[in-house]
Amino acid sequence: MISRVYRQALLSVDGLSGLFLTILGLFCSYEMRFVQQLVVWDESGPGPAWLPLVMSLILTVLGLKLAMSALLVRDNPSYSFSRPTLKYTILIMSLASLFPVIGGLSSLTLFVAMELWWVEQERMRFSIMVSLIVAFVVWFVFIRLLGVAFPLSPWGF
Amino acid sequence: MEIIQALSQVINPSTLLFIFIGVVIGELVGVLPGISSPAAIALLLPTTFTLAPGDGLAMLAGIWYGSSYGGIITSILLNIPGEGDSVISTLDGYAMAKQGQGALALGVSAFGGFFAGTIALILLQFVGPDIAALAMRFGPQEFFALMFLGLALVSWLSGESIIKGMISCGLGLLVGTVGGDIVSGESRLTFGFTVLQDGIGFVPAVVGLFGLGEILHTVGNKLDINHQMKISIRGLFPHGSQWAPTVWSTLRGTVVGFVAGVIPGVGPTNATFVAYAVEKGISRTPEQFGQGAIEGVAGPGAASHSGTIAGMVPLLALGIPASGTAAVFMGGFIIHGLFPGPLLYLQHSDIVWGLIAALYVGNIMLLLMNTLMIPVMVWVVSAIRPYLAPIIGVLTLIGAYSLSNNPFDIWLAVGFGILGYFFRIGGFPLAPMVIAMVLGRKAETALRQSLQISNGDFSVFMHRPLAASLIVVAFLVLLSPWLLALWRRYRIARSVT
Repeated sequence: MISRVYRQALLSVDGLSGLFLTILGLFCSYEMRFVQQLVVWDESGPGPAWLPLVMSLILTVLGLKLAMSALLVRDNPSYSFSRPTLKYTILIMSLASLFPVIGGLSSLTLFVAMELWWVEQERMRFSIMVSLIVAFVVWFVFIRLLGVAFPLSPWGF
Repeated sequence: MEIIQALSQVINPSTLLFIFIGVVIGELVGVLPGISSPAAIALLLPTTFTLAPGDGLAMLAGIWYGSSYGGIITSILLNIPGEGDSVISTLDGYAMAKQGQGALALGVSAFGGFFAGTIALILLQFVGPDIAALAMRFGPQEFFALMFLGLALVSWLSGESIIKGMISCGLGLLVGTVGGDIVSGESRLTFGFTVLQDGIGFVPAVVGLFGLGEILHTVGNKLDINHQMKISIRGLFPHGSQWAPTVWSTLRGTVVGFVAGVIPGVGPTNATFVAYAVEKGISRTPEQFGQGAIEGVAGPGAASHSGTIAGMVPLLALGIPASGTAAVFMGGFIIHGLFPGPLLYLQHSDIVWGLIAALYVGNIMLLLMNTLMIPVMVWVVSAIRPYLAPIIGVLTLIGAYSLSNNPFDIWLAVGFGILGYFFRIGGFPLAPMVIAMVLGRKAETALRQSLQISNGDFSVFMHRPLAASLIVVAFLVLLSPWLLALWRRYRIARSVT
């Protein structure tokens, strides 16, 4: 239905960005106007819904403009993800998940070790050694000196 | 005089130590390509919460200021700009290094930067209070108009595409509306999550955008460093016929940098491009530029330093950050319950003058470091770079978590980190979004106050000449792509007929 050229254009950086912004703008506009039904304007001027609604509509228009411009330009670059970036993203999301579960210090240590071994392709022994050094520095600087209250692990540290 | 009193208070072991730490971290940040000064400031924002406001702000200012020079070191020695405002230094600085004049390029940048920074601080000292006093007479109409123009300029001047700049700004304004409305208290865009009632935290968003976003973009890129040089003190100084062009281009760069740095959206990065263009434009030997012209290093180097200091003028006097870094630095005030603007000079003048005094001291520290510790900095690049990715990840999440000990802030940082990554590969500038997040609520409050005064009548802005002028200029800026396109079509049509 959509020709290959247009499909490629829409999947380009500008095309995807434009589509995402259009959807985001429409979604937020709908949320403000019809779901939350906050006041947009009253006798004293703009209400609480005014700025979010205006910004959502502006983003919708700009998103459409960006997507349309992608259709008019050939050889748009596509989003491409390097393997290290994907791996790092997985690790950082895992860290965020494990942080309150296995404790702040444990999860940070595990993150450093896995990042060096899996992403940077360092040797396992070296990765563990560096992660333990980082863990000590984090404990000393942030927990001991600055008093940051990390969540504790099930093992008490 | 306030500055003398402030200097006497700053010169104590504790404050000097924090300024030194800030300058050292700033230089390291500037030297390391994987982390920017807004990211470093954002990462250390929560740690300043435990310090006295003066010490914390002095350290953050040292980072901001030190990073602008650190980036020049790798630009000149390695052809790798560490910061945005050191990109232009690669053109002639690296050419000078290849000709064996790397020490001269670094020396010109160091001494020129010291001179430019000192002049800019003197101007800040005198201009800042006057602008703050003028701003005391502003009403909400003028403040809204100023912020609206600031956001328009930032959208226009950041990055390559004004559409993408406006999108970045719009997203920042939208993110800034999340949470309870200041006036009515009603929840906006919280989607039922009570944790969003207080809005999206500025620190988690910024550490994610700048810190994690940058690491996601650069992780896996190996930095190949194989460059050695010896530096002698004599080699740092110009000699003979090199003095005159160095001095004049430093003077010009200082002026260009200060004027450009004051304007929101221009900032030190664009100031360096303007300074380079000025030097090349007035030079009798423009063909030398790009081949190792000393003016091509001295002018932009001075512009970078004076532009950085100039960014403090609208920030301190008006509460309007002129760049993304300034917006993040503003977080350092907010953390301590201080709000930059004209009232800051009135209610917390000790903080303002203490900050200016700290910058004077930091300027001197930077000059000493830049002339003595360059080989150390280059060594640091090769030593730390392989471990930067996990360290930044750790610091980012600690920074996001430690402010309110809320694990949700970690997810915010991760989410904004992914957004920051997409911004970078999509060519969307970050500065408009960060500035909009800071200014958005203030601008909305000023707008609603103005319209409440006039019962919803927009002509209230037209009755105030300054507000009206600023708003007209802002609209012209925002409509400029379409106006320029119309003008081009008109010119083509005329030339055809």
